[in-house]
Amino acid sequence: MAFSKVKIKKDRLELVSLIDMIFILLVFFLVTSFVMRTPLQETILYIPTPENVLGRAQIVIQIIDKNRVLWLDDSASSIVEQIERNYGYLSETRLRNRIFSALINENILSFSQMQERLTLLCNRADENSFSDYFVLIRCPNEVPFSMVISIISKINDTRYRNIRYGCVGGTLDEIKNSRAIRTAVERYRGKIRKNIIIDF
Amino acid sequence: MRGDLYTRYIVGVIGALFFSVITFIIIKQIAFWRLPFDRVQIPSLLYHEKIEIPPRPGIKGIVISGPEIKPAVFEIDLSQAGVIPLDWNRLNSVDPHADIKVKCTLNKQGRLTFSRNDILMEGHTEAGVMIQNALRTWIYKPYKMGIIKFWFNLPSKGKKLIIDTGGLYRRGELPQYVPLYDGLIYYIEGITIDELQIK
Repeated sequence: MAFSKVKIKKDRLELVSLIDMIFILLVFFLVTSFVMRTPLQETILYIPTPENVLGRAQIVIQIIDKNRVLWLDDSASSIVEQIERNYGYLSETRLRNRIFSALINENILSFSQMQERLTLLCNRADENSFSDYFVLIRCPNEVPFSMVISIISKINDTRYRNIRYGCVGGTLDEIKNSRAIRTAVERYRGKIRKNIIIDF
Repeated sequence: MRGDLYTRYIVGVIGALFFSVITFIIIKQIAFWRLPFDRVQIPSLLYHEKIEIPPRPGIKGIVISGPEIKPAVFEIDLSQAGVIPLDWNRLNSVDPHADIKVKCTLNKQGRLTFSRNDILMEGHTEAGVMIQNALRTWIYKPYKMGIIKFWFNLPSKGKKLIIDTGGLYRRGELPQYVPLYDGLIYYIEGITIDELQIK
């Protein structure tokens, strides 16, 4: 009886399973890389969270109620400056009250008027891609947030998306009872501006 | 036997490489997830996807950007009617030895005023009159007031005109926060920079 040869199984590289694994991993990383990138793209539309510092903006829209807003932009600077010049002798509180009254008298807009101004702002932003605006929207808790959404939708409707925005909760009374409303000359990003500072 | 060892060695190396690559990718991925959005670096190939992080609104107070304050330039206002330049070449041809000193007062309206006593022009009357006629027409932008001196020294080999603006001061009407620079403070045609000194 002839002895049968003992077959020793040689170690071999299992190419089939290796390629299989590599393809599975490739698909996995391709998919996860897309998943990874999606939230980044979504951040274009995200609403930045507020922080406890002075907020800078070119335009402040303070929603008062469903039908009215207080619109403050660079034109308000001259109003504040004039009152400071004429009534500089008043106490800080009385001066603040006077400035607040003047701002209220001249800058309260109806919702439709605000929409018109937003349209003008969007047109201005569309004319120059290098222009950059930041709009701060303050909304009291009792007003429906849909108002803010409608403002944001309008702002987002620009060609170059060069109007940015931030939303914070806040009422008109907070501005009225702020510590001071004053003008200050500041150098910011190489430009000297006479800004209005509302200090809470 | 030797071939088996070789194959095992290769498999081991490939396995080690594979797991090190996977570990590296996982570590980088976790590090990437932990990065704040503003620190995320997107490869240059994906530059078009670069995201600008909007500023976070502050709640401690509000700073509303006011109108930009443009710097003021103290200079001769050429938009005013009747401003006449002094012809330097003509002055040289009229009296190449002219040595004339004029002490002018710049008034609120931005005009140069001077009396006879303020002009030293002995022996150079024609050139002196020519200079006076030009200086009287110059109107400066109303940002400075005070004394400004002109010394026309045509025979000099160095500076032929020295303007001393040390007596000028900034007007109170111009707010201190407005930057003020000097611009064209002489209106003389034909003069070169080398011939001029402004103090």
